[in-house]
Amino acid sequence: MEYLIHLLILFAIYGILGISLNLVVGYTGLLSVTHAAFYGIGAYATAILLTSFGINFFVSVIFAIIFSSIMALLIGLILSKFDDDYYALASFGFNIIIFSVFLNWQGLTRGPLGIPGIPKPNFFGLDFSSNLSFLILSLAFLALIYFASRFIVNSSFGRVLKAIREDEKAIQIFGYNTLYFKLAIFVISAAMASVAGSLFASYITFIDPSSFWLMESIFILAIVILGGLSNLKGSLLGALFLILLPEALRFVGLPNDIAAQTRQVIYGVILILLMLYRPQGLAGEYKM
Amino acid sequence: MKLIMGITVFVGLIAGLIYLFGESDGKSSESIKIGALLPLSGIAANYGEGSREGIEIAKEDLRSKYPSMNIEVIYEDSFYDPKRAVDGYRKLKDINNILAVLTGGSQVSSAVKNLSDKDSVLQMAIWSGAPSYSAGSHNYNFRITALSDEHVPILTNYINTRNYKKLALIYANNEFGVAFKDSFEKNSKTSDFKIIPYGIGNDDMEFRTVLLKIKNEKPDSIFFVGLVKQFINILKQSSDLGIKTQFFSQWSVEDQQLLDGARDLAEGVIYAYPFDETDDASAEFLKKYSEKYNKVPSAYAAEAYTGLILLGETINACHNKADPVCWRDYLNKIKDLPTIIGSVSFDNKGDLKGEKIFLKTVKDGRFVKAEE
Repeated sequence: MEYLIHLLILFAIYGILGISLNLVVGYTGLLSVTHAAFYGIGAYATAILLTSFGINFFVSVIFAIIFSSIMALLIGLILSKFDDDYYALASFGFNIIIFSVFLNWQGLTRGPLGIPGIPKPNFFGLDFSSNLSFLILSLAFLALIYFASRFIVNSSFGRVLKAIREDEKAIQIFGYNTLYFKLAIFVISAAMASVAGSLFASYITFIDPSSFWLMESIFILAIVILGGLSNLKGSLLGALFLILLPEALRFVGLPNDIAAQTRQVIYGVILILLMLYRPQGLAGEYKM
Repeated sequence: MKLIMGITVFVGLIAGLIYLFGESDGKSSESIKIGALLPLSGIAANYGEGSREGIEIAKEDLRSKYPSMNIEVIYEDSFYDPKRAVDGYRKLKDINNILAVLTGGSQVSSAVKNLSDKDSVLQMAIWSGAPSYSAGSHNYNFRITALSDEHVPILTNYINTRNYKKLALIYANNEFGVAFKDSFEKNSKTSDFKIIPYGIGNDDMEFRTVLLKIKNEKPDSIFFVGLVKQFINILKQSSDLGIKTQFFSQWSVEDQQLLDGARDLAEGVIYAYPFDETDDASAEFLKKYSEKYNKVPSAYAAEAYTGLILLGETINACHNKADPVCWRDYLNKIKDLPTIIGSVSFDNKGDLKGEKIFLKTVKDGRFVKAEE
């Protein structure tokens, strides 16, 4: 049962990441590969505040949201100069920069040595150190972020985002300041990703830069694409699928000397087949 | 509707697999289950595979020494990633009901440490040199890797006595490389040589820019810490650039890949090493390993072998009982237990004491002890 609870906690964390990135990629059409950076900012902010300053977890989440939002605003302003593929490349560059800061600013982040001993949350005596209580907390955050995102996409703000995705120039003609909308959703998305980072740091109790490298951004993008662009439930399905699939493969009995490598191949083949037969994703509205 | 049904069936299948395997694993076997959380795929796979090979030899040795001991080693891939390592650990603990776990690599060992402590699962960390692993409380966590602080003094002593004055230090920017860099900087304060550090990325394979900078500095020696694949490229690219100097390194370069990849360029490389295959206990391990796998065992294989042997001796001392408390207490008390990596004791943080470190070199295409 503990193993299932563990997987569900990861599902909650990656569900938050999937939903938040979908707001930018699926609803607004901005191919961002920088999400792991905001995830990492949240994780490091929480880890440093908890271990070095003894600050409460929930307060650290607020600080993480603030740091992440500020960084997202600055990065978003620069990214707004780019379109399409150039946007993706530039966001790729920002992920590398943030990763390099995590890796090399050893005085703050301890660099490759990582930050161990991150405590579990505590709220006025309410202890979240058991996996079950942490799962409840994670699901609560996931629900909050899901409903907030649903509110955003169903509002007039959300309709403008979709219009930007379909034809930015057309919506500009109607007088909409698309830069404001793109920046706003980028910052909101980063803030949500930082919440996932805070949860991750506190749950795993040890973080190092390797968890926030570019491949993590690509993994989160895979959750969004596999689940379905522009569909919040799809992001949850994508997270569930990509968390459970490699774990399911652990149960595939193979000789020890080839098991790990074969499972990687099987994982890759399944993803390819899914994209071949369901290119719009599990619950998507449109193909990229 | 079909999609939702399909996904529900998929999720139900996974949950059922987990429940089924969890239930059946707990009831069916009386063996003592030991997990081995190693990087069996990805960039560190050759270290994980080497460790697995060492563990397999240890299993055979324990079986012949203690026929009544019934231990089962269950492997899981850590992917050399803390998050995936936690996934693997949770599966080992909750589905396979392990009572002890061998973890390879500092970031994996550090990620699992708090969990294994909380679950009263005895953890034996192998090739995990980051000092931070043993920070904090010590309960069920042990480590049998000599830290960089134990390797570096023997190297600096050699460098001093041979009058090398300027050492270029190429280090991979990971916990292993940074630990060595910090140790060198600490030791160089009381030494006669100057250190010029150059950090490289974990995935870097092109080093000409760094090597050109090094060439401009005109060092009389270069120390490398990182992956053996990177070291092969450094040797080749140094040769291309006309850099002729004494190369030093550490134990992870003793790998057949170095001999196959760098060939003559590896001749004369001097490195610190914690495993003496020429003494009697080691010779037996070397013979079995070479016969089974047709190659020389690496220090990763030797540490993994020692890790499982130590666990086996501990289980035997506790009368084959599945009792991690007894195992922990026994390990805390052992003094100078002979192993292939030297006489082993643990300090009050669960760190290894007594591992012999000495210098080796590559001579005539073989790894041999260096002359003092």
